[in-house]
Amino acid sequence: MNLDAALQTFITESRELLEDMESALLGVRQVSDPGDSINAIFRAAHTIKGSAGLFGLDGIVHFTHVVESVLDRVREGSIAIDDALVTLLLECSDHIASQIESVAQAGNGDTDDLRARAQPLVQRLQQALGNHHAAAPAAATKAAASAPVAAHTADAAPDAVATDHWHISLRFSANVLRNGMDPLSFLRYLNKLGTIKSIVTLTDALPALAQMDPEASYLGFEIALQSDADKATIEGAFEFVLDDCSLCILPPHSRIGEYVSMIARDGEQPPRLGEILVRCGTLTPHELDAALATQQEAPAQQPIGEILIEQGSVQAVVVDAALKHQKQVKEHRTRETQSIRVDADKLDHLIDLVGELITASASANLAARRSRNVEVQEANSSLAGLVEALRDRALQLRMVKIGATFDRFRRVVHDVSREIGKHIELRVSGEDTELDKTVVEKIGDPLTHLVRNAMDHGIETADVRIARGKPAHGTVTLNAYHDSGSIVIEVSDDGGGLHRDRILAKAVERGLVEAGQTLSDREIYGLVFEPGFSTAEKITNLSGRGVGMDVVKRNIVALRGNVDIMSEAGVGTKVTLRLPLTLAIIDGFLVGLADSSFVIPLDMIEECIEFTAEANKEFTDLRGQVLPLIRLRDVFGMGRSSAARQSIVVIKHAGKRTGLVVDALLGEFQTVIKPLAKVFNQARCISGSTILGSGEVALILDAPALIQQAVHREGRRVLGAENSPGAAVGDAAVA
Amino acid sequence: MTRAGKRRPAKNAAPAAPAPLRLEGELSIYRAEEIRQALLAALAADGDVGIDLTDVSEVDTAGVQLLLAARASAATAGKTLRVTAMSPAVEEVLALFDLAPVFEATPA
Repeated sequence: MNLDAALQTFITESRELLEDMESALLGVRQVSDPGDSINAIFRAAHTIKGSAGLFGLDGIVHFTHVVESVLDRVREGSIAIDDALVTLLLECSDHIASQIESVAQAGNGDTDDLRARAQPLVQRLQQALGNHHAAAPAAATKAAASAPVAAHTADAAPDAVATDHWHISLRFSANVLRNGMDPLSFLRYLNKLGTIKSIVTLTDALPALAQMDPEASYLGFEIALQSDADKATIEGAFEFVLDDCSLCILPPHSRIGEYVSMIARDGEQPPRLGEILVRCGTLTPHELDAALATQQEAPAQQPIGEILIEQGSVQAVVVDAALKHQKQVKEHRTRETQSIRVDADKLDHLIDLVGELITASASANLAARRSRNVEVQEANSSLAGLVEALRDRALQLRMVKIGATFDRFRRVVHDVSREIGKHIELRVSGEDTELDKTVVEKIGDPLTHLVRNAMDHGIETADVRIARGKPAHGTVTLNAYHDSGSIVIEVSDDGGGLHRDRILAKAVERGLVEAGQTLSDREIYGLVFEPGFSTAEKITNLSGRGVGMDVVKRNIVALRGNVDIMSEAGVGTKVTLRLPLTLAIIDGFLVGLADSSFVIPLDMIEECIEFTAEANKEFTDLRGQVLPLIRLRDVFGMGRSSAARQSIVVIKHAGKRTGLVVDALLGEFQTVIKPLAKVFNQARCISGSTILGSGEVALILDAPALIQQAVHREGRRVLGAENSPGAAVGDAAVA
Repeated sequence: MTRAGKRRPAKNAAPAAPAPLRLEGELSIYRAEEIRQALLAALAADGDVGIDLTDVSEVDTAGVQLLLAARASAATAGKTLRVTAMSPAVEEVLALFDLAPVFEATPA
């Protein structure tokens, strides 16, 4: 395998493992039995360490080693996992992540900067370990002293040995240390399952110092373990090392024959092993003699199957566990074959091509219509159907569930609530809602800001909450769902709500609204998205500096989305983000203005009606309701229309209706969105461009901006300000 | 302070024996070869070998193996290898392996 490719795999896998580690860390304090979470955390650190070793990334190996040592003690239960440790381990997982990113970017995970940043973490980890060291010998002595000597049960099989402890015979392969496993960890872990009554460390294989490979493993262990755990649990202790050791576990009161077969199996000198068993206290000398005698009496080897059957009764649990494990492995494999990993670049390229295909198909369609050849037209129409299906499928490929993004906020909430000293929970729903990967990537920052804002300003301090009769801990909720071609994401909190009057006062002070002007609640709350607007009485390092909400709005609008905020005093605040499902291809509606064509996103259009010209009127009557009008010709400075009939396209966005006056309705059009060049950055009311079947360029109208403009204009008219319809389009916008 | 207290009597009691080999920091697989060389050098010198493990912060199986091998090699050469002092970390690990009696800290 190409080393570069392997390194890429390592980086990708490490990122995933770190995500697992993080979510396990965040969950570990919530679950009643943290065993699985701790194992997941351990496995992540261990796997990263092992793989980093393969690539010689010493910085990562050293750091993860320390982390792993701590986790090891956590796993065996000698270090309790408390909030402080979770926080420390989260910081460590962050540090590993930055090491991995450094490898990804610079190929080096061991820069001076990283090493300097690792230093304080390592110190804290060692402190955690150190506390343990101090406590351990005392604990060990106590455990040894109090180890009960259980009596030999009377109903044991007649040839069962007197011992009442498990016997574990353990030989490690030479590579076990190099593979990053330390037999010590297993001994410590066994001590958690029970009490190691005695242990014999076998040094027979150890060569002279001059000849030894210091990184190879030479030791073997015979262990007598006093434990109430079942065999599956004890075997589970060695889960991580099963490939690297030969393991034999005999339950208490096993038949002598089983010890005999174990002695025979190991291929070591039987008397020697027998003596060790006696030294371990597993067998009495008398029992050993009997065993050796049995072995000699039956020169024909006892068939292994028979031994297995004999052991069958005690091993039922183990067999079950083994089968389950096997099944899991199989399921895991099937899942692997069901999904494949594809570079995002390849997908983007595919979607670009599908875009080109749609454009080409549109121009083929045009040509077919002109040819007036029925056969060509039919062929073309079935082709167009397929292209549309292909478009949907291709876009579907890039759809991801929003759950992964939401999960990242568990960490944000965890960290921030600690930082600001409030107890806040995150509740998440609608995780399965899908949206385009390109959109997901861009909503992270705005969402982070909203969540932080909710925690910092929304949720009250515990004493205020209790005084208001609310639960002491606050809740921030993230929710997502689909709504007519958009995805809606809600960030809500059960905090104090926005101060309507304070916002209004501030807006008047800043000159954003006139004193005495009547505004709806929605309009007032919407003011917080104005640049430089903050009503927080106290500025914290999280938010409240008046930068943020306007940036959130700008980011969301840049994605052709919009933001809305609703609040109820004392009950909470809900911010609703509405975003398009995709940024690549949309269903559009083509309209004509003079010689140019424009695209309006189809899912915003309510209806099309005839325009009955009344010069200079800025609104019309739509079935008894006032419909503000925007003459697109005015917006784009095209002069008066000479067309005999004009039409109104009624668009609706976020509950507001507006009529766009156009020259001609040209019908539905599959629109491949091409971004506008930087020159057009200043152009408002235009969100992109597309290429028509004829090869001409059509601009895509930014409907929310148009509506905004209409609303704004209404507002200004109320204020009596001068009305200049062309002002919305920047200088650079050329229709 | 403890270190100085333990070392001085060692020198006074057996002036012929060289000062004990002091191992510091991690006694682990990451430094295994370095430690092996240090132990080999100590064994190459005349007389019995003392090892001071007061400043060992961490020890793993590889470290224990090295100590065991050094002890066996010393015995083969007709010398005695003693651990003159050890840190709690070393004590804990040796206790787990039930090797404490083998390396009983004995001021030389």
